[in-house]
Amino acid sequence: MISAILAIAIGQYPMKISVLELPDPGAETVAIHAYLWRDQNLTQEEDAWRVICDTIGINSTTYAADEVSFFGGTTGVLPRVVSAPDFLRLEVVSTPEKWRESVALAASLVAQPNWRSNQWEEREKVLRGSVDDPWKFALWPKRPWSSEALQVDEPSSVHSRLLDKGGLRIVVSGPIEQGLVKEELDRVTRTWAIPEYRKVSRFAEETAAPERQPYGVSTFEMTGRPIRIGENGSGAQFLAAIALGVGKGASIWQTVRERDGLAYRVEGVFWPSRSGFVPRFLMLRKSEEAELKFGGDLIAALKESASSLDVVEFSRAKVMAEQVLMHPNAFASVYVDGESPLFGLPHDDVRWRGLLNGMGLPSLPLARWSETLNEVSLDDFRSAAVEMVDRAEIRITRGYSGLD
Amino acid sequence: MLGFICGLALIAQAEGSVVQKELPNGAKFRIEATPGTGTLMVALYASEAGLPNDGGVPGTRHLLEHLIAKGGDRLLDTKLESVGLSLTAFTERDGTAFVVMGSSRQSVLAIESLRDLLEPLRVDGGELEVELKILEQESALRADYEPFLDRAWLELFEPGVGSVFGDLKGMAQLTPDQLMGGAEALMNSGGLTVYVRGDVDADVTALRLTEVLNSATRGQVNFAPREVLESIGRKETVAGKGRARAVVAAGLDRPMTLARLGVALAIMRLEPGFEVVYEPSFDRGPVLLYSRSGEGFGALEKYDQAGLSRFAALARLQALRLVNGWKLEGPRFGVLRAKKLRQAAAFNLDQLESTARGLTDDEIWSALQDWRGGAMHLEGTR
Repeated sequence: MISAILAIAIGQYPMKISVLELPDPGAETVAIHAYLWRDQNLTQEEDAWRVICDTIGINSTTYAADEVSFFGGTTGVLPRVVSAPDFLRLEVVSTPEKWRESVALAASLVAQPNWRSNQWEEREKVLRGSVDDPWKFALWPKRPWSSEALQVDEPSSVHSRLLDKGGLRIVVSGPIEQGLVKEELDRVTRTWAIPEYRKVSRFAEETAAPERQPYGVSTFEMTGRPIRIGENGSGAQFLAAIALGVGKGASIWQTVRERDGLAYRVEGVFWPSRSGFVPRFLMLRKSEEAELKFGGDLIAALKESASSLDVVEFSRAKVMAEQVLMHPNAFASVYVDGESPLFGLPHDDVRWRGLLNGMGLPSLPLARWSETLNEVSLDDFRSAAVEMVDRAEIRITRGYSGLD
Repeated sequence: MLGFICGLALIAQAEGSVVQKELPNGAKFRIEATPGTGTLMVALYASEAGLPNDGGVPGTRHLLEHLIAKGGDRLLDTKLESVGLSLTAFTERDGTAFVVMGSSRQSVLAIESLRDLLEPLRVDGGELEVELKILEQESALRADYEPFLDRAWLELFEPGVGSVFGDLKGMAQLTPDQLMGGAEALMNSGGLTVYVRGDVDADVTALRLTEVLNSATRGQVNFAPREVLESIGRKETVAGKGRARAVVAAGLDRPMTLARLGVALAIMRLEPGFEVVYEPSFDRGPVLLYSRSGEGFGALEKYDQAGLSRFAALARLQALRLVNGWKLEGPRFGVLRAKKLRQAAAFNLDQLESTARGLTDDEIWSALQDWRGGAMHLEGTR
């Protein structure tokens, strides 16, 4: 079996921690976000990743669950964990006076989960029985669980491997002095080490998207290449994706839904991945026998639209981009984790910049990125739209009612 | 002209940056200015009482919502989105909602867009056919709990409240003329409320809004609270997957509503696999506790007086989270405030948070008993 885990134990490794400090002297609170990124989405690690995402944040080897609850009681907000296929993020909101304790807590909860006492085995059983709705599934299609149960040390081994490969990334924003967070984390984590883990074979398989889903609904998706925010052409790509997919004035809505009546839910989203924000154009349809042709209809509709985008769509895209980046919006579509998009929330800028940091990009503030989009030319916008659709991949996940 | 409009106001209260009015044609509005935010929300709510019982064909209001939201020239969305606004619409048991959100720089257009929604509906057979195809697709996305919720609404009230989604076959029989008549009834002035929140001048916005609402078809609406039937010991079967229990909540202005919700949400937290469904309202409506697997209801029996204080703390926290979620300024936020103008105008929404915090152990215990013995049991057949 190619994907077999080679049970080669390696020794303990020092913790690698990177810190992004975003001083904001006017802020009333300190936002601390701790990230664990995946270097690859391996089939053999999928189950463990779901368990890790569900159980991190409960406790750590330094902080018991009661202490975490007590911390939440003092600040009014419990640490919050959100996840996506490529990363998880733990968010802590702290008063300025308690930032040191809060940074230590966030780092510990992500880097030192206590697998012996966080009841992950019970949570695993629950996760196996849980079902997403068709939209959530479309966004993050999960394969069926691969075995009856995870090996006892599987979550901890995968967690350690990810920490060793990508390290722990901490993003802090608020009334803090530049350099102090790094200093504090160096002090707190000096003795921390990554426990032993099982190495994976270099031939291990990357996760393939499932071909079927347990609903009477099928998903048709066109996926563009990841947009590397701030790099050449990214502004035009971003606007093109808005024009094609975001809002009720978007091509996909106007053609696939309003003109052709092919679907109720059609939507474009920006999906966060380690390579950048992936533009995805989704159509959900009632499953039927001869449905593959609707994939062709989706491609044809978007190709036709992309080649005819003009100044009206260009203007709408610019205005809509600012809305979905900066403000509460009914068509919020720039996802900052697996379930929540930017929504004009207080710490959205920290989430955005933290993600860019994890994608290996300069941490451009949201407001500046939004302004940058005004510099995109109509020609570049049109070319980007045509190229986005031409190079997009199509994927169909067929629904089988009653499969579950 | 402006003086004339001002003279029409029957009730006008200006509390600093808040203006609340009821117009002679029965429409009501409230404007809350939030200087410096740069954002705007305008929520128009058309009470279901305008078209009671969907005019006899379940789903008529839902179909009308789809059609009306496009605007008279069918370009409303594109016009709004080109200037930084967007429109979303949805239908509830209490009424039909249209919410415009976006930049306050476009407050004039946002208010004027309501005029577009209030115009007499024009629709032809071709457009209707496409919309029915879209509705058929929407039916595939209905959540598993929906048949249980529909049943609870139907069985717990007198007269029963029909499905919001509706009956596709029945809707397919509706003619353009019937729909145009239905739209006129639904959007008549007597059933309309509007809530505006944003970076606007409240007085100027009030004048504009008054003018726009005066363009609505004049009409009167008969509002009557829902009559509740007994739920204790009731058992129903539902063509669906899973199992559910339903209790009646009297409205958000009653502490026991939050207690029942808090308990259900606490159970959901403690026993994963449950969903809690509730349409925030100041009128009576069911709260549904649904389990897709059909399992887990035994958990309701686990909690006794000895462990009550811990359970009650969790239930309070869950109620508080729910209330805080409603504060997120999305479309649901605006709609809750718009419907409050008609259902419980005097109630102060800010009280919800203190009500949730102040729920007593006795109230939580009583709500738990409601879920145990007082609930209607709904059994899925699949």
